[in-house]
Parts: sequence; structure tokens; C-alpha cells
Amino acid sequence: MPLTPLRISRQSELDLQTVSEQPPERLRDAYSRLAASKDHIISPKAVRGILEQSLAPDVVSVLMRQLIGLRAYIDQYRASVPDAMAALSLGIEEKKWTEERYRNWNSISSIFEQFLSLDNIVTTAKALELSFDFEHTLTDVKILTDIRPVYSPDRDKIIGGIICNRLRFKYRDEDGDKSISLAIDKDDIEQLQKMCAEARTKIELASNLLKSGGLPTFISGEGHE
Amino acid sequence: MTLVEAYAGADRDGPSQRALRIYKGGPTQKKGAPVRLSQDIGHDYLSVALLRKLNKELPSQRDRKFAAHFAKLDALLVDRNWDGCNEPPSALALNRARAVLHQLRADGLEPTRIVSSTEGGVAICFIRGKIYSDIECLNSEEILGVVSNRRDAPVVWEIDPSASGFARAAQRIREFLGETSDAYDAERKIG
Repeated sequence: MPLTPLRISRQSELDLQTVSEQPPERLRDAYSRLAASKDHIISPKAVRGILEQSLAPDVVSVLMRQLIGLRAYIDQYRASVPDAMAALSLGIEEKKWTEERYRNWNSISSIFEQFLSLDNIVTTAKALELSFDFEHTLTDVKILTDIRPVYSPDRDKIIGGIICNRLRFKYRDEDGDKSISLAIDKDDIEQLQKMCAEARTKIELASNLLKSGGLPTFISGEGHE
Repeated sequence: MTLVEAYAGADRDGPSQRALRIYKGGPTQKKGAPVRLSQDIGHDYLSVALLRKLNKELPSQRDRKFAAHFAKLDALLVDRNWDGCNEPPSALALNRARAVLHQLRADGLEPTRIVSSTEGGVAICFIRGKIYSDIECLNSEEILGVVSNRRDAPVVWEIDPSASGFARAAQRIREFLGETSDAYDAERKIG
């Protein structure tokens, strides 16, 4: 089957341009540092910490976005890294970049390919994928507080108000974005607050347990702390 | 020479050359192995769900810098242990300060710190050497902008409580501080 050019969105195109503008020696240095890490790494935050020793923080975010995105593609289609690189290069070719941009890309593409094969990138991409491999994933949550007016028996004036709350979830599944609202009262909110505090404690305990066994941890969502 | 040829040419007998042969129609996959390389995962190899997760796990430098300021606002909301001298910030003042902070993040203008205002409310402060500026979201429902070079009398103006009002205030403060709007864009370049 012929190799199909990878479709590249505008954001990915800008990301790839940013990566290709980096001096090859800096990328090589970042690669060497990550490859030299003795520990198994499964956390994007940990990878970022190592790469930021060689590259600017926003370049690291861009590079990791592309590496993890391409690893997801490789894993999903069971493609080899060289095949994925060739498909990516075909996709880039369709972008009609300037000669200089092509030259830049060519100067770093072999390092980029090495990154894609690096164990710490492979395991981090896999861990990230597993961290949100659920039927439904939460995208936003908020509590909306309303006042419902209570009218007089004659309906000619407002004699009071009921304060009520809605817990509104926005979530995503295979069909796209959806939402659901649940009525909750003050007691439910206090219960939720308690449950959240307990969940944070449980996360810490689970993380400490893994660390005490010498195993790397990735707490889903830790990058946003 | 095409880009793929250039890419494959760097490694004539290696795996890249094999990829080029696949592109040209040569059968190189093992029998029975999946060879599907066409895409059906949305608009890109980065699916919407993965992109969303990545943006959360790998926040930009700008988001990371502003996270502490948003956390301070959260702390002001929760902390009700006031010393009795200052009036705690009202919910409206905190919400407006949050809206201002979102505008500042979008504009890449990072404050120095966020404090409760002695006049009752929230002050978002900018200090650059001897130059001082702030945006005060007050419990009195006013939003004030202040710029001062610490020599002359401070200049104070009222800020319209709207997105455009916040954007204009951010621009005025940026100009006063002598910062350019593309400072953050430069961070994407070589560090």
C-alpha cells in the first residue's frame, strides 16, 4: 500500500516550523540528556524538565506536542518510525514551504526521528494515552448558583427567593462534546468538597506508594499545577 | 530532489530508504502485518482529545507564569480570615480581577503580584524598577487604573468593566511600562 502523506493542521505546521528553527546541536543536546536518563520516565512533566535544560520552555511544549502526537499515530496504525517520518515529510512537502524552511527541516529531521524512537518518549506517549483512555472524559465543570423567585399567592409580587445550584458537567465521548446538569444543594456541595480533599490525599498516597517501590509516576493532570 | 528523497538520501541503506520504497509502491511490510497509514482520526495526527490533554499536561510558559496569579485569586476567595482593618474582596471584585487577569494573559502582560486592596477589593500590581502601575477591582464596583513613576503624582483613570475596557487598560499599562507585545512570541524562538 502506498504511503499516504500525513495531514498536517495549521497548528502542527507552525509547531514543526518552530522545531525546525532550533539549532540542530541544541536538539541533539536535548536528545542526549533524555536518552541518558537512567530512570524510566512516563510523565510529560518529567520529560519537559529534562528537555528544558537545552531548549526554551515553549519550544519544549511544541516539540513534545508533536512527538507525542506522532507516537499516538504510530501506535494507532502500528506504523514504524521511519514510515511515519516519511509520511510526515510527504505531508510537509504539500505545505509549500520555502526552500530555507525545507533545509531547516532536513537539518533536524534525523534528530526528530531519533526522538520518536526514544524509550522515554515511547513510554510517556503511551502513559498519556492511557491516562485519558476512558469512554467519557470531563472537559469542564462548574457550579451555577441561581435564585428562583417565589411569588405571592396572587402572583403580583416576589415574596422571596430559593437559592439553588446546578452542577454542570461538560464531557466528551466518541460522538463529541456533551453536557449534563445535576441539581445539588448546599449539603451536596459540602460533601463534594470533602470528597475532593479525600481524593487529593488518595492521589498522594498512591503516588508515594509507587515512588517507595522505585517506580515512576504520572499523575494525570499534574502538568497544570 | 523532493523533500522525501532528500530525507531518504541522508540514510541510503537505512529504514528511511525503506519508507521511500513503500511510498513508491514497493512491498516491504511483513505478510499479514497492518499497513494502513491513511488517517481517519480527525483533521490531524493530533486528535482533538489528545490535543486537549496535551495542552493541559504541557501548559505554555505563559500559562505557567499566570497559574500562580490565578491561584492567588483563588486563595483570596477562600481566605476569609481578615484582620478587621481591611474589607475582604467581594465576589464581584474577585470575578472582575479574574477577567482582567485572563485579558492580561491573552496579551502576555504579566503582573508582579496580586494583593487585596486597602480600599476593599483586589489590586493587580506591576512593578518594573521604579515604575509602578496597578489595576484595582474595588468592592465599590469601580475598576481603577493607576500609573506612577514615583516622582510625579500618580495618574488614575476609571476602566470600563468590559473586555475592550480591560484590553485598553492593559495596552496603556504596557506602554507605560515600556514593554512590547511580542515579548512572549520571542520565547517561542531560541531560548
